[in-house]
Amino acid sequence: MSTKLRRRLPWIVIAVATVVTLAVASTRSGTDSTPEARASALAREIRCAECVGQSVAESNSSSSIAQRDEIARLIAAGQTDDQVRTAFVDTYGSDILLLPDATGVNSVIWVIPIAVGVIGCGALFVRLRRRNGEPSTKQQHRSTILTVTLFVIVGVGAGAIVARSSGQRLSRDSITGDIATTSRTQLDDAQELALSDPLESIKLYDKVIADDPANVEAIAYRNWTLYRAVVAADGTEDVQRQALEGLRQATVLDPKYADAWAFRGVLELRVANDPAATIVALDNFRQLIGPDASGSGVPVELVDSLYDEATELVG
Amino acid sequence: MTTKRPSTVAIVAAMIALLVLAFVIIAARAKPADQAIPPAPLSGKEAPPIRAINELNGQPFSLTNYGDGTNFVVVNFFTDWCTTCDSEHDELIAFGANPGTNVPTKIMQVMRDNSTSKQAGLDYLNRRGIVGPTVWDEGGRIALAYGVRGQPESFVIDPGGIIIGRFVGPVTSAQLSSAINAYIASVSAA
Repeated sequence: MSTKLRRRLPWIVIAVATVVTLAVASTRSGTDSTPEARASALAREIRCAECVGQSVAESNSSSSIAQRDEIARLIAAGQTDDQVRTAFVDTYGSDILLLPDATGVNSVIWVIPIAVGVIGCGALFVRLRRRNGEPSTKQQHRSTILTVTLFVIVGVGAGAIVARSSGQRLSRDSITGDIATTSRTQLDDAQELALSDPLESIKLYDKVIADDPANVEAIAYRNWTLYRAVVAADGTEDVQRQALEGLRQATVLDPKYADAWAFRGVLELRVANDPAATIVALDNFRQLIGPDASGSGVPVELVDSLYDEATELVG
Repeated sequence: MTTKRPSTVAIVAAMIALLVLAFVIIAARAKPADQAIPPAPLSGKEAPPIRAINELNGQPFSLTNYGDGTNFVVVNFFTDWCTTCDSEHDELIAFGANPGTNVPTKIMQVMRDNSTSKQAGLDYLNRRGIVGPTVWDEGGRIALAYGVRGQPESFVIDPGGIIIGRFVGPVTSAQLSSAINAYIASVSAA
């Protein structure tokens, strides 16, 4: 191996590694050939019209379901991915896409890291060269051009990858794994849906419980949502009893989880008609949340008025 | 190296500073997400058709027939549980009774399918008062076609079936009247 080649070997290795990485990264989603895969990829790019910062793939609100159906319908009608995106932008505006448009003012977002990276690397290189203090030869000049070209490829490639992957993962999502199935996201979704679509909310809680049967937050809120839904719909006593049993189970599973005690307190009075049990449950709740009532999403006023009511009944 | 050319570091620093400045200006000019005015991409476009059953009398309803080519029509999206919908409800009834415009104007409601149930929505209307013909948005198809982002939302449609205005959040009778009157003024001035 000639000295020249040996000196350039590290650069060649870097260049090959960069090209291979870019190729792999940019063709990763090119395999979405089936209509289902395309629909699912698009669902991750299109924002849920009524949620904050969620894609329609992550949300099970009724509007997201309608949006997902529309994506599938448009794909079945033979539209390309771009045509589907355009259809949503025409109706909702460009912010319906989670991935910021890389044109106009928005492109600055992508250009800044690329430009800073490329200029910085180029400057560093030139600076190091100058430090030798030798006048540049023709050969060195050629080598400078080659290196700068490499910097540009790396910079633009990095920018393109940033542009592709941005907006796909939210701050609360885990770094790896399937976004839609993280239990935290599902719990948040379920809580959001509790009022508007209790049935969907309960289904989501059930999914979390199926994956993690000891998830006490899911058990507590599932049964609380169930109770409120059946009361709203004038439901049967059986279902209310089932909700109470679920909440009792939640307090046994994790006696340190305050919210479950509060919900159980409500149901011990309203369903089991047992004010004494309500007082015990609410006492536990109050002890757990402490004097500043932090660490619980349950309104303290609700607990206070229920406590008074139960105390009066016990006499 | 004795010439007075600016050093590479100075040039790079200046360029980075310019880019950062541009970024800061853009970021400062942008409104926070919760204050941003939602775009009205459908303004000036043809209103998506609404064909469903008027849940108040069981008869077929069509937006085109309702507008009849002569009426301005306000289409209001609501749910039974939404408190801001409740806060605008009396205004909508008042607008239906007296639109405050010099042109024929009508109002209708779309009961969104994320309501507690269709029956709960009808019970709500019976309790709070009827605004106008009311359809049930099965599968959210109507809200999807109108690009609805929440509830309440209201769209103003001219007699030619073109969307001329959109209100996100609770609206007053006066706001709806002035939207229509301003539109008529702009059209007659043109």
